[in-house]
Amino acid sequence: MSRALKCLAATMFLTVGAACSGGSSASPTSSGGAPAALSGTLRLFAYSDGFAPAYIKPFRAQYPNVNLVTSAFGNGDEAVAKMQAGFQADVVNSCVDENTLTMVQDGLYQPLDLSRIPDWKNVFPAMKTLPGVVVGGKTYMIPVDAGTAGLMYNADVIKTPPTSWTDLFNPVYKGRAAIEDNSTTAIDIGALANGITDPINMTSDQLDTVKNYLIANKSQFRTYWQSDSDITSLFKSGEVVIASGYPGNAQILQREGYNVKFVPAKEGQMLWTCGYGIQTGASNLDAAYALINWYLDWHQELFEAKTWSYQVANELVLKHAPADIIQQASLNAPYSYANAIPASPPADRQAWTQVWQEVKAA
Amino acid sequence: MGAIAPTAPQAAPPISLAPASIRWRRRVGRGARVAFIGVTMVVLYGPLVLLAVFSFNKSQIISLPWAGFTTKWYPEAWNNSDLRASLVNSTIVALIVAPTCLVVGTLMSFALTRFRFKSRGLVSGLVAAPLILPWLVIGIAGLLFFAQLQKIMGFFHLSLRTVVATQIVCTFPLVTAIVSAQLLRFDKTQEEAAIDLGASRMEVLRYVIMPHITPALAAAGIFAFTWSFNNFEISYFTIGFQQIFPVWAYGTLRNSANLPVINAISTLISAAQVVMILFAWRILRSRGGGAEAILGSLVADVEPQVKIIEEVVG
Repeated sequence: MSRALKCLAATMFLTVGAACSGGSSASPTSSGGAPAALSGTLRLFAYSDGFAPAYIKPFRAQYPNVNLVTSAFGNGDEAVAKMQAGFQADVVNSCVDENTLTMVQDGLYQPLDLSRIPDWKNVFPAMKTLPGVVVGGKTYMIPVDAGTAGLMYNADVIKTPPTSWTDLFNPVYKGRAAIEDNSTTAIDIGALANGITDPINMTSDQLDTVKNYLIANKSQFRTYWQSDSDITSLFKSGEVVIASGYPGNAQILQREGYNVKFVPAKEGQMLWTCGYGIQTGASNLDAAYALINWYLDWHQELFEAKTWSYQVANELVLKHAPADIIQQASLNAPYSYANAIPASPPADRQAWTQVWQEVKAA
Repeated sequence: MGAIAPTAPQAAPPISLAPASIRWRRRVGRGARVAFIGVTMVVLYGPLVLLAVFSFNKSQIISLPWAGFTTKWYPEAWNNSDLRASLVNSTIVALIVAPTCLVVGTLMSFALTRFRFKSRGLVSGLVAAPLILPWLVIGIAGLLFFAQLQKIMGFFHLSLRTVVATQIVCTFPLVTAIVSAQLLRFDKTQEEAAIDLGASRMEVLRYVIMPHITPALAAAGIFAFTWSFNNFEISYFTIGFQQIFPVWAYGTLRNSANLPVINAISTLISAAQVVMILFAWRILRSRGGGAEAILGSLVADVEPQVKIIEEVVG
């Protein structure tokens, strides 16, 4: 029996070892050059959009010897927490309005060698100046995609298109409005609706005003939506007729035959921008630069504009995109909207998070 | 002997009717029971039924009105290579975790219920700890631990291996709790009688103890498998760059276009888990166990935990 137990233990150990092999990063065997010359394991830590099968397929085909392994996170704070705990990747996705600057300040991103990113010269200049992209003269993150928050409304119910964030608080829509459950976006909207023109740099008194305003208008909102699944379902079921949202949300509904439209608000729109950088301690730098260049290439940028209606960072897309895509995704106007508020983390982000929690708990 | 005079047939006693107040109370009680069961069933199974129903809806948006019947999400799920890989990985992990936990957990339950040793209270507390600690905390602690180990030793990368190791630590206490409950209720005189009659320790284990704890082992095995397969919190932090199903689903849910595919595959997984439990149930019934034995094991699960807590507290 003792022999049988030993055999069982040995078998289990070998099974665990065999079944669980993988996940480790092999050393690259090349220092760059032709795609086929690149090899080794490349670890990507990103929102799941960043490696959606249809999106990432061409990269795998172009770099057949690079073993691209992926891991997804649900939001930027979660990604930072995981990396601070010791999670190691090569290429990491981040968003300016979430965690890019934090990642630079915490030493999670390493400076990039721009001579290895030929499309950097084609990035819209406004995107190069965002917080966290360039810090202390060094570039840490390459912007790739962007978008704008505005007003979504059911055009069958609301005949006069909304134009202002104050329309979201119109008592006519009491109980049939929704706002995104995101402290930065929600407080920005509350501030702009109160006539505060520079919400990112609000004083604590102004922040209190916004908090009280959002609490006083809490019954205005049917819910605080969290994902595009939430907001599309709310419009489809008719529970909500007006909400803060994004062009992509409206397009999902339009594809299903719902007359839901997106309009920017006159007081200003919150713009988000996301991109990719290289984590400190990355082991396959050649492949990491190859992936960042691949993301920034106009072919992939056009895919993003077509699929998700994202604005993109590479100006070359304008030469190749059909007119309807340029119009649909506002490709020719990144950061040139009137009253645009480029995505930035507020100075006291913790205070904003606290205020938003108080609003939700009220 | 004189003839016995036939007795006159007695009239049947009148059916006694309970007072109206008692009848009313019974009706209310019955109604409350039905309502309770109804609400429980709706809360427990309503979401699963909705999940299954919407997996056949043509619309990508999971909401009424119904957009038409389709089965297209099922082949789409099947053709998703990431999803297939995540399911294979989840199954591998669960197939390793469940039997390992059965062995380790059962051995531990024997140690805690059959032997008296100095640090028994401490060991009991340590074994029970993963059942009390939030899995999120265990997951983050696991990540910190493995990351440090990787720095020191250089080869212990986050992978399915680290998921398996952490899940085993958190799942075997469940097996210990379930099996201990059964062992505590077991009449030890049967063991002693078997030994008196010349049975060896192994024969006692095989012919006396095992038949008694088999339903508990089956229940523990099913629980260990499903805990492992469905685990998100621990796996998310300790997995590295491979996918298992709950982690894949979490990342993919961000985009609503993927929701119908997740509905479809979740429906299949739920169905498979129900079939698995029914299969285990049938086997146990054929071996003389069945519903009562399994439920008895699960209900008695509380018993050793209370005992362990009592020992730790004082």
